[in-house]
Amino acid sequence: MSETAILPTLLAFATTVFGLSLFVQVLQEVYKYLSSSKSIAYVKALVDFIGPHAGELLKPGSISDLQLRGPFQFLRRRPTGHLQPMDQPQLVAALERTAAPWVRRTVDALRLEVDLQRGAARPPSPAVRELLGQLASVEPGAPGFSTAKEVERFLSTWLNGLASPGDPESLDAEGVLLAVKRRFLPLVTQVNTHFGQFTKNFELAYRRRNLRQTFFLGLGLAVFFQLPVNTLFESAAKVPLDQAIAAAEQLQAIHAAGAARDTTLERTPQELRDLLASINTELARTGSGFDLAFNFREVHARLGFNIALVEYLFWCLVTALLISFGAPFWNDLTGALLRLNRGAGPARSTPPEEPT
Amino acid sequence: MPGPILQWPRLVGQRGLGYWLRPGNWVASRRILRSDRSNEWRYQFQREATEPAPPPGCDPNPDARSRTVRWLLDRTADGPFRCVILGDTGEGDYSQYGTLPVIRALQPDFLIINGDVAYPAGTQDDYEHGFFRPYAGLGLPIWATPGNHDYYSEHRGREFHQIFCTELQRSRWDAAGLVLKPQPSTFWELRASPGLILLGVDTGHSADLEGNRTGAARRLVDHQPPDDRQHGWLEDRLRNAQAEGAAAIVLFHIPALVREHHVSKTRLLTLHRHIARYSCVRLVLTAHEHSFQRYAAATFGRYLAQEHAVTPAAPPDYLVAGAAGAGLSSTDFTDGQKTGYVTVERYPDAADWKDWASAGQKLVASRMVGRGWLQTVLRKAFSLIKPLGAQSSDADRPDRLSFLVLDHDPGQPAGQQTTVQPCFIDDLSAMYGHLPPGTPVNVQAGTPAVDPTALRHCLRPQPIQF
Repeated sequence: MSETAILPTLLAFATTVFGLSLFVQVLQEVYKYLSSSKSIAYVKALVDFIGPHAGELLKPGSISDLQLRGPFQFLRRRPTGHLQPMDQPQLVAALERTAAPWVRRTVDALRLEVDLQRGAARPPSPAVRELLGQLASVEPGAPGFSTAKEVERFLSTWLNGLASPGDPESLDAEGVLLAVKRRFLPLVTQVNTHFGQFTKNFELAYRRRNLRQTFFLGLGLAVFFQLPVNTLFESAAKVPLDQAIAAAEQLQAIHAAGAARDTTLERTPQELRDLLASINTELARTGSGFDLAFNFREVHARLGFNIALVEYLFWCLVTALLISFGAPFWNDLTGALLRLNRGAGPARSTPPEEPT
Repeated sequence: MPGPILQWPRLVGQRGLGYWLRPGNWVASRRILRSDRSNEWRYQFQREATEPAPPPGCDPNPDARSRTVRWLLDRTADGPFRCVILGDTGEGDYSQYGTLPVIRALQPDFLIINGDVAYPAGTQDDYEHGFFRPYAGLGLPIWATPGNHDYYSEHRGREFHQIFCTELQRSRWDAAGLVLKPQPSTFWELRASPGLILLGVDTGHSADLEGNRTGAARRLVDHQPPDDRQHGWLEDRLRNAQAEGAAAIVLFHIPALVREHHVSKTRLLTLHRHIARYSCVRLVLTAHEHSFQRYAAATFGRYLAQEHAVTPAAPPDYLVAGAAGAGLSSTDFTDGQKTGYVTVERYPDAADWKDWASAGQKLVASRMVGRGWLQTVLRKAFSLIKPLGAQSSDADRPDRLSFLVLDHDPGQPAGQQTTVQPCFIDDLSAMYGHLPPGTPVNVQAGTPAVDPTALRHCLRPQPIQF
């Protein structure tokens, strides 16, 4: 087959997959929005990072002020929501909220002490003295008694241990705060140490999740709308070059317009419908447009449950794999093929030349 | 016979009737098909979580994984203490709550749960319903060894580690009115000096501490390394105990000797060899099987010699005690006639079990219908067949419950310092014979208290003493 015969076919084929990728991209955006996909991925990554204790952040009323309402949570009947990716200080603050009440009070008092001292060790303020008094006054059997005793023991050790020589009344609040966090809030230390790696892990996990979604949506599209890759290629081979070029240019325009917008979801439902319809129109030009009225009986009648069905599924898998490369990839490839086609000169109507 | 009116917390709909009808709970509770990697996971948990440093007075070596009872109880000196040892505490149903009035009446200083703390699968929610809520308000420290169900969780036992071995969930302990004294790890030593050492061993997901080194099919599919670190730790601790002249009690969840036969799929060879090698081990406590079985020391010695090729100088007593709330297993077995490993006591005894169990349970227990999966499914299904209007399923009934009571008093003469007594609750209602009929009883709060005479009757007169 000559080069000029291959080029139009390839262009038509790339344009087809490009169109399908765009279609899947739109569907995926809608799915991600409705399923709070990013939140799910974030919670999974967080649980892998800090363990099941992350579940405490998801309990109703735990940090609902930091959570986002779900897409259908028009009324906030319960203090629940979706956890969005948090930066390091926010995550640390959220984890501190899950600590035992006496631990939180101690951390708050020491934090105030740090602010008051402004870097210079001073005698304990009334806030710390009051805290120590309250810790000592917790009665056995009262809620949090054992924690109060643990904190009290810990503080008494550290307050004596950190007193500056010559000034037994001074308190290095920053040091004690650090020690209290290490002892009673070990996750905070872990988050502070490994947050960078956690962020990288989450981003990678989210990318993988998206890729998985693209693949399965592509597979669904290919299977249910009868778009195995061999059929796509055969259709592409029959498309006239000018029609393929026109479709490719249109799809590139759609893609460029989409890229100019922040997300597909900024569009209104009507715009989304128009967008999907226009993609389908362009796909139809390449001979691969699909009818949304899928008929399983027709597929079954055509293929039956035999080797042809297996083959059909295999080619659908290949289609899904190609779609999962993503619209940007196919946009670039289509652009390159268009440029090649233009570089080949006025090849639309002239006979092909022998390659040198 | 009219008795007291037992007032239960609100359980139905959460953990009561219909609990085992939910397919999710069945699937979660039978994760035997999942590969066992607990020999690796337990060290991953320890590396990723900062466990509290050993407190003053305890062995400062982190590898010793040792704490003292004095620290556990916030005491300044060693003294007598009482500990209740529970096994397989159930899913937060009537039978689990049914142990509470007796536990309160016994006034222990702390509790130990010998595995399967949270049914069906050791999730955060399971710990809430199966641990924090039932034992709320006891105001005691609780330690535990992990059981297979604790390893069935999504995070492979990480929940257990975070709850019992770290400071992370202190707020939940506080909210439940329990005392958090973090364990050094999932396997631990608790020293009641002088004279008594408790060693909790973590048998993991399927009692495979040796690693899957036999069985071609399993080796092809999966292979986990042996837990040499835990074996090394146990040997080191036993050597220390032997040198000190202390008595040791070894606790672990999954037994290799149960129902009068050796369970060949368990891989606990090294563990048993260590137990046999050190005569300081005076008692071995296991659970997992939901009944009480006691084997004489000589029987256990013969078992060690025959199944593990090691002859102990002084074999310890051996108990299986896993009926502190979970649905009762059949005790109608006669394997001892073939194996020679005959129990000297079991609770409930075979005749009592036959009276207690439903026809379906008896059919399943007779092994006339399938083993493993099928048996479990049928047992659960049959256990739900009950008279109309019954408050709960058979598995939920607060009767035929058993656990152990350990008393240690260093002031007693040698040989009488430690006493381990089984405690059998025939029927919770019958423990309030001293109250006028119709008296309301708050089961969770244990008020009014059980009849002291009935309580004495619960404790068996022939304790294990050393």
